[in-house]
Amino acid sequence: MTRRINLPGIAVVVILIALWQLVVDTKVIDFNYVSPPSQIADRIVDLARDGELSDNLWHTVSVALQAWVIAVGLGVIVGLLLAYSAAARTFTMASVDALRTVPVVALVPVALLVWGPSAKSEIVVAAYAALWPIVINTMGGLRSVNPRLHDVARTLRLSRVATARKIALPAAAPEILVGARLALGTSLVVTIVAEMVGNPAGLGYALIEQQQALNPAAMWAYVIVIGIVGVALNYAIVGIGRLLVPGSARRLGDAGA
Amino acid sequence: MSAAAPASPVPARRRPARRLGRRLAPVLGLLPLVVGLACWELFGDKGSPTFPPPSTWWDALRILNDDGTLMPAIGETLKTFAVALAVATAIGVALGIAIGMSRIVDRALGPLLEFFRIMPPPAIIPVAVLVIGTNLQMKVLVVVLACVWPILLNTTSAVRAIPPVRIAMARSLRLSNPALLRKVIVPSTLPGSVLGLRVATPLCFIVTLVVEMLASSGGVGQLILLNQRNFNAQAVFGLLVVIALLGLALSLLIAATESRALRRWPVRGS
Repeated sequence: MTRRINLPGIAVVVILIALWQLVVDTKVIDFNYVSPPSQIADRIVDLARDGELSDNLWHTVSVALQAWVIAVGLGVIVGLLLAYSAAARTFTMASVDALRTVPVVALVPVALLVWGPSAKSEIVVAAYAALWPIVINTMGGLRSVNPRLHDVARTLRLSRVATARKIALPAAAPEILVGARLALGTSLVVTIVAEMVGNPAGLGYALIEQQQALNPAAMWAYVIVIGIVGVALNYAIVGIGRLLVPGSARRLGDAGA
Repeated sequence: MSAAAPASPVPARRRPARRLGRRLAPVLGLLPLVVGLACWELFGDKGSPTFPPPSTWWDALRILNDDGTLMPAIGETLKTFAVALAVATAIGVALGIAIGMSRIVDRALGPLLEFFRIMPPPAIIPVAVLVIGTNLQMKVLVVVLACVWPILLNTTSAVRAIPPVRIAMARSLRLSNPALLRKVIVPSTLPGSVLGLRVATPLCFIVTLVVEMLASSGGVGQLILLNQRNFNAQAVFGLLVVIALLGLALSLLIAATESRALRRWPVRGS
């Protein structure tokens, strides 16, 4: 992450797009369903103009964010509980591990069965999926807080709640942020899967709809938009994290996939 | 956690009890899950269209097994998983070493890889279905695009962490480039690659299921979705358990492979 403009990187992207356009235009490779970039760009503009894009975009982003907010709230509370109560750990940790390993996408059909094709199903599954990185990172962060900070809290005669709020949570904040970033990505992916598989709304469904209508340019347009949404949300949370917890940026950037 | 902590460490008498507690921890930890399922079984309504109790799941699975859909589906899923993970490992390690060794490659591919890494993998599925068709290559392509990143990133950072002295030593021994790669770089990065493989394993399994659901291309993913569309709740819950157990088994298998692979080059330090 250098401040300099990454010329070779931009060059590769531009060359690839140009090559794509050229190959399709000259019909060197004749895939029926590969639209040239110019057509995809036109279609994105069309979709944006008639409002279809913004409706779908709003639906998906709002669902993903709602699920994420629920997951962050619940995850930090559960993480606090598991970090500070040995009894809670003993009696639930193995269950948490068992539930955590269930592949989340397998829960999409279950949610559709129970709540039907609705935004609620999407939010429930996405929040469930996003919960675990936050629980695990909150717990890990809290448990690795320097013990001296707890001595400080005791010296200052802080109550348990005050200790958590003033000392432990701020000290664990960088780690919680990493969890929150992973959770946001997960939340978006699961929301889109739920839309593609079940709930007919949002970007995921629009994508499937265009595919089934054999409308490749619009389909590619939605793929690009979904990619941009992913990148934008990722940068947004890294930026917010940088503002809220200065110094965490490096670790946030290094957190990887 | 009492306020008046004793001056001495844990009294000797309490130690055996603690050790027992630690050994029992996994069992105790599963208690909420077991109790929950037991209550579900006891108080659940067998005819419930949404929450059938656990005993009905088994029957539903037996029906699926008897009509010969369950086992081929599991086989199909495992095949896709295995091929995709192997391809992802090969590409991830090769590209990871290239990016780690060369600043130019890193900067040139950076933005492109960043976009694909953050891009939600399911979005690629409709495109892949239209362009490639519903076959193994399509499934493998999508799954690899989703799960290659942990392997690639961990390999890259492992390459960067190789002490320069080690490369310098290889140079002064006049190792050729292939020998350098084989004798120094690959062994040095193996722990990193293996760590990436462990992260990639559950991801690979999940995306395999997503592809099967969205591309109607056989496998357990498609099976669970079909049963959901037929409102066959017992089968959906039964298959959920099958999927969970499969995921667990694959993770354990990869962990076992990992400890075998690392026996030759044990991780020191970190």
